[in-house]
Amino acid sequence: MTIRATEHAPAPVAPTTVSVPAGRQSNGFARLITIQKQIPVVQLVLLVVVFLVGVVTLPGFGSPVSIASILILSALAGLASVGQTLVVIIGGFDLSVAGFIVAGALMVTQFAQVTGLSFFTALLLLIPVFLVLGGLTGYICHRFNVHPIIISLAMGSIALGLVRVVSGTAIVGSPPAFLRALTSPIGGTFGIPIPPIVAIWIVVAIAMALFLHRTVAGRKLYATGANPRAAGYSLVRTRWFWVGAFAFSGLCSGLVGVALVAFAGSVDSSLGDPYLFVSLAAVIVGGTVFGGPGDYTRTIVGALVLTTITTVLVGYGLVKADQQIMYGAIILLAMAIYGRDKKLKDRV
Amino acid sequence: MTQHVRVPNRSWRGKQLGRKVAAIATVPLLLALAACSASGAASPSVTAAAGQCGDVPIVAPNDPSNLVSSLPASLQAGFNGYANPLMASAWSTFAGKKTPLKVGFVAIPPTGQSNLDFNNAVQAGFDKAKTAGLVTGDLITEMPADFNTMTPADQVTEYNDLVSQGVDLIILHPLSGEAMIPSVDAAGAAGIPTIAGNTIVDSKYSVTVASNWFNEAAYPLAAAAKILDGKGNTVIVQGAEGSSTNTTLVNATQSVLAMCPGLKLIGKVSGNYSNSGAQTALTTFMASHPESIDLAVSLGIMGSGTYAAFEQAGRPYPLVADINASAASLAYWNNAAKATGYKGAATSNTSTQEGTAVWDVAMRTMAGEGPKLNVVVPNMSVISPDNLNQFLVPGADTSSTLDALPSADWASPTVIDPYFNNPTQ
Repeated sequence: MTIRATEHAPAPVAPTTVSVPAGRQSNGFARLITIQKQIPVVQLVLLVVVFLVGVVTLPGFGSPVSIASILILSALAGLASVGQTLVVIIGGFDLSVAGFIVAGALMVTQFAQVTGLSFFTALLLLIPVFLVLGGLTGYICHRFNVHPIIISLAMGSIALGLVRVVSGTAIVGSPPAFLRALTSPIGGTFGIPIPPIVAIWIVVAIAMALFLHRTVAGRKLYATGANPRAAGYSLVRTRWFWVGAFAFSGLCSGLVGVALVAFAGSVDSSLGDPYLFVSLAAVIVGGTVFGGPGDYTRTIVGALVLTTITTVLVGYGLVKADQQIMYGAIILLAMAIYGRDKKLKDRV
Repeated sequence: MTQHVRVPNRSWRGKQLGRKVAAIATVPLLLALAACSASGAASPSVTAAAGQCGDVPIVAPNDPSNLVSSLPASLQAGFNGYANPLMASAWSTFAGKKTPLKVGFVAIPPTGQSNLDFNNAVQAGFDKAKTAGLVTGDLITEMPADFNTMTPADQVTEYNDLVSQGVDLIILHPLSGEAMIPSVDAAGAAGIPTIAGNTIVDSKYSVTVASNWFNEAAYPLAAAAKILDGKGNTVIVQGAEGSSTNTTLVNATQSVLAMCPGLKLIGKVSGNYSNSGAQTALTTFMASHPESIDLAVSLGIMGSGTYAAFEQAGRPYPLVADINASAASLAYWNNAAKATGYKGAATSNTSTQEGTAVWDVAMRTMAGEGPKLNVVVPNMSVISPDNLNQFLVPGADTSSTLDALPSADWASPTVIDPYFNNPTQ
């Protein structure tokens, strides 16, 4: 028997926690686990501890410019993780991030220059193109039941290739001068001393929280990740959510490419490479697991934890290899906390 | 539908939490281990050479057969500290081949302006030679589609494919010189010379046109040390950690710093030869290093990212010792010089010059001029406040993607001729 899903069906409630029998709640450990599942307490404590260690042991670490620099780097990592968070919640992951970032950066620089488009026209053109390319990833994965690892990697390459067909084979380009202020630690937003990219991050964070927790679509997204079959029986069109999540991820990656070219001042082929790993690491470290539960607020915490730890480690003179060890260790730690949990779909 | 909700029992949960606590407890341990690793890595590997702060350290080249002595005295200084083993060329008595020649080119995808310029210069040389009847057909170019996913193994495959196509000569832009050695040796034994650019291939069957990276770092850094009177905090912006070129550049930097006890090395970051990478790494570094930074050593094409990081952070520019300066990084220098009297130090070589010199050496080798060594080291272009204007690209600003202007005598016939037994040009 086939059940046809409609958008008018009552939305399932996102199951973000598993209730613990009342008799067991007196157990302190159990309570800690329950709280940890609702709020990333360990990560927040780690963030505060590492920050305080930095403030106490590294002179000037707590200065406004240093904090602004950390927030800008966190914002870039966090914004690169927006789409990835949604994709992870539905049970996938997106390896097209790096390709879409470079393609987005090229689109508003070299592509615009070659085609004679203004920056804003190229930016407007970027939106539908990247939505379609990203959405195609989700469609193919869902329609043919293919794992996103290959499809998303290929789509990132295709996106970059398509832009390069027009912009030329060389990956070069520089942003308009006004865009550089977007990521300046000493810049402000409407007179408030907050770097514009950080202000954008705050707005995105609020929008994501509202979408995930206060809309029917957000709850259906959780249901899609928790148990696609059950979601289908609940008349949720899971394919649309796969298409939508990957489309949104593609768009976000492209826009992060624009922010990164503003930050770096030029495009190069390795512009997006660090953000492929960081986008996934921020989601996992924040505590969002494949198929849910989780949300973007956790990803924000993950991005802040990773950036702050990296900054403190650099302050202690640790080289890149040491930082890579720490990144790996932190992800292992996150998986030790969350990876052993049964997935929601096994509990429904 | 039956719903199964599993609630773990108390002892299982206690065990699980115990594991989590243990995992959390490993973080300080890992931090300590990583710190130990870092303290070891920070110790300089180069001992202080004789001389004063601001001098270029004199280090004997890796020349077991004393080949450098066969070159004019004016060129011998160019081999100071040369790290790769120098070899007598297998083509020193090569009579050349009958023209027109079939030529292959193993290229790197043009991900940036540099690779694009190099490839275009080789193609331009080929086109000119074709007009003169020296080469035939098209330049058979083997190049992966994507730089980010290409590997040295791809280049080995492409190189061997050119050999199987029966080319007379191979132009090589190596991703890794080490990986190409067996293939270059095999092709050389079969009578096919390889002329490489930028990255050295340690084979007697290849002739590589590349800068001496020791001098490229040592000369501008020594000049910077003089400007700073040998005092100040220093940060090194590395390229790709572990690559032979980066190792040579870092060793040269540390050998200069070793003669300047007042120049304190406060850290090293890695920019991976990308301005965005350099800027990100420096921004992170500055967030935990609010102290004054007086000298930033940019080890290869990351000068504009280095300047931009300080500009964006609202901090004054340090003196940037800018190895392989670009039009953008020199624009930063020039703007600051006009505004504040800022002084910098840099070297420059352009990819167009490299590609052109590679083609020149290739045609000379195939004409039987007889290269003496397995390398040709061009004349280094040191940029100082006095000659900055000669290298500024007119109209280029800090976002330019162009190379600096080339120096006229970087690889002129006067420089190249002495590297051949029978120069005829």
